Amino acid sequence: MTTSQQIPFLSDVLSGEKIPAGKLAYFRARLTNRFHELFLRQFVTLSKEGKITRAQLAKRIGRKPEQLTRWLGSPGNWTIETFSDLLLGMGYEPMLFVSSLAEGRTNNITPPALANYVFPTDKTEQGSVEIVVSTGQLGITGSIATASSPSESIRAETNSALASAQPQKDYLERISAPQFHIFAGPLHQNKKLLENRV
Amino acid sequence: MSIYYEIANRVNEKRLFSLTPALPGAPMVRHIYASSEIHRLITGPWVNTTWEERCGYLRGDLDRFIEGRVIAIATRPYKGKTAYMLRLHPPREQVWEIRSRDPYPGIRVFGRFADIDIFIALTWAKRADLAGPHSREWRDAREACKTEWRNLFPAYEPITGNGGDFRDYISANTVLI
Repeated sequence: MTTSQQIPFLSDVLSGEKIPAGKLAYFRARLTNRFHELFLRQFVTLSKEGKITRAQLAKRIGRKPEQLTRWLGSPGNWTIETFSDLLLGMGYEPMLFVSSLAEGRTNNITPPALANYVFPTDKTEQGSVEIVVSTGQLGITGSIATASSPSESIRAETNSALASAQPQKDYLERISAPQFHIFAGPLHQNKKLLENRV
Repeated sequence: MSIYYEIANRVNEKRLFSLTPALPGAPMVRHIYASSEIHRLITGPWVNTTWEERCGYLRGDLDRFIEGRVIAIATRPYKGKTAYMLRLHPPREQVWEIRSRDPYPGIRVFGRFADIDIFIALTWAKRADLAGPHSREWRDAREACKTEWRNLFPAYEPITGNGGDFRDYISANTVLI
């Protein structure tokens, strides 16, 4: 049997029919690569600042430095646990939210100031995802906003909401967005937000 | 005339194919122009669903390059075995490989840089078929890549980095290991 892809890439993903093996594999590779990129960015940033070395990180998570060097090259046979260990070894944890492929892309909506502080909430409704964003060193900042057109308006609405936000108040944003976004947040800064949410 | 003109001609002749990110709207920061044999890996037809799945992973790995994401580059041949990209030995031949390592079988895509951030992906092989690092199979793979380049661009050479600076090949978002 031969199979081929002659139709727009997402059409059968969005059709509700069985997703072809190649598409499933593509998104698995994409997610793994994004995990790896996140780890790589974080490690390079910290190592350039002199805050961590390969040897230190390897020691912290109970691995050999040569294993860490291999993981810097590619994710290989990473597991979610590996990714968690690596970020935790640097004092970080991943923050995730999901988004709908059908609604367009939002990969450009996260300003650098926000990138480290995106949280999923437990208030998800069908067809949308709520995320909580906090910013800055002063604690949690935010207000509630709704974006009707994520790819166009979220940045503006985010900035607008943050400008008028009250300190120590969660910023809730309701979006319907297209992909899986992964960020790393410093644990000591996230802790307060998490406490507020409980 | 420039190599850009030649690339455009090869694309019009359908001897090269511009790979674009699979997802609509994804950024296109770097460029891969693929030979027809690599293009077939990406678009099919595939001999079975197992190979279709493997090629799906490959496409995800190639999109990592195209979308300008952070990639690890091995600075020396035979080192950095897990790196995303490597210039093969001998460096003067300017043959590079992109490694799609997982899942088994690992796939190697061979090519050369036409300009900074413009990779011409010419040939490929399963890693398992290439044997050891100094094998005849590796040499043949390099030669096949060079031959394919000469067929496509007889009047042009790939770019050569000045002093071994890898930023002459890829402008940003690289980690050297």
